[in-house]
Amino acid sequence: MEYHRGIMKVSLAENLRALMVKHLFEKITIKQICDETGVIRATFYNYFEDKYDCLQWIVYHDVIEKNETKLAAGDVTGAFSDLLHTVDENRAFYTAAYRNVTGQNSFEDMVRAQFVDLCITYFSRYRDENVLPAYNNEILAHYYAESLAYLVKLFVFQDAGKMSVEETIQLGYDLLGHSMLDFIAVTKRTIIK
Amino acid sequence: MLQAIVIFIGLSLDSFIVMMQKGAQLANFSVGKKALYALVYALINDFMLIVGYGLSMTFKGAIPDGKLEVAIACLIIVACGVWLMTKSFKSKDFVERVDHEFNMRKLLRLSVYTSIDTLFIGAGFSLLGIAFTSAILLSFVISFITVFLAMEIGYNLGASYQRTMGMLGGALMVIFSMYLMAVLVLKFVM
Repeated sequence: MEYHRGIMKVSLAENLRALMVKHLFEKITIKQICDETGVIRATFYNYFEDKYDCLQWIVYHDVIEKNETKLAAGDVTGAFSDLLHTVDENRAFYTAAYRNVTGQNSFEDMVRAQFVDLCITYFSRYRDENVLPAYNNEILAHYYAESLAYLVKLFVFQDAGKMSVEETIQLGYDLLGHSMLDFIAVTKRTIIK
Repeated sequence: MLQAIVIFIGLSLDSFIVMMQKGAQLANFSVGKKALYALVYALINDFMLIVGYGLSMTFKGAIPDGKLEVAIACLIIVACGVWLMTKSFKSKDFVERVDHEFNMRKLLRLSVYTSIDTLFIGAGFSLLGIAFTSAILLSFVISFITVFLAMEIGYNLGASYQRTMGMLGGALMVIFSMYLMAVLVLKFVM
């Protein structure tokens, strides 16, 4: 039963994903999603509150659920690499989503929110409590989620074939592994006490 | 009679939009439930019409001329039409979102709120001399059919073209009351 529920949820979400490539998000109706899936409105409402909820679940599925095993093992790089491969396979969907779902419930915010959740879980499991203990996990999670969300957006909108998944991972390593001061000439660095 | 039918249809488009949106938000919606909701909605609409007729009685005696009564009635209908058009024009984009908490109490509140214009139309109809019984019957039948159809369409097809429908309903009322005004002026001139 649970397996069947999972299949139905994925099916509804995948049909929204496919519809978003062909139509503007704001023009997509629940009836269209239901027709593509072959179910009635009541079935859709059993799984999602509205189409935004469905889209949010797609992001959750791509960012967290699909990479659960690697995330549980603490392999964030592997999980991020898998995510970028998923984005690469669904580039048309991600481009449409970033372009068309803007404003209060923007797609960008949805991606960022998933990264915040991911970072909070990661820090709560693996954080070294001796490094800057004054800053809690939430602050760190929001800070790094911004960066990760930016990397995904950059990867989506890069010119075709310009930046591979591996190169994007390397970019993430390089930027997240250095502080802002590392990029400033020694003579111009502000002394922070 | 025709004028009453046209105005009620125009007026019912407002209820149509509201209930179509509601239909698109409900997860489990049997035919019986739709019929019950439509019945309650139509009864509330009739109640407001009766109140409108009653209200007009309080000031009808103070209006000296029958022609003035028609003119006031036309102005009331125009005002309702313009209000409907403005409301539809200003309406925000509707997002189909499930409403698990919709119940009879919420339906009552919704139907009272959307039937306020019916109250004014009732007053206008009284001034136009439209028979009370026919107005009540017409209002009930048109409201019931409209609300039932709206919920059926909303549930099965979703909610769309709300703005167009609202504007159309308002325009229908404005045009028809203008026609009545023109007839009155022509009678006055001749």
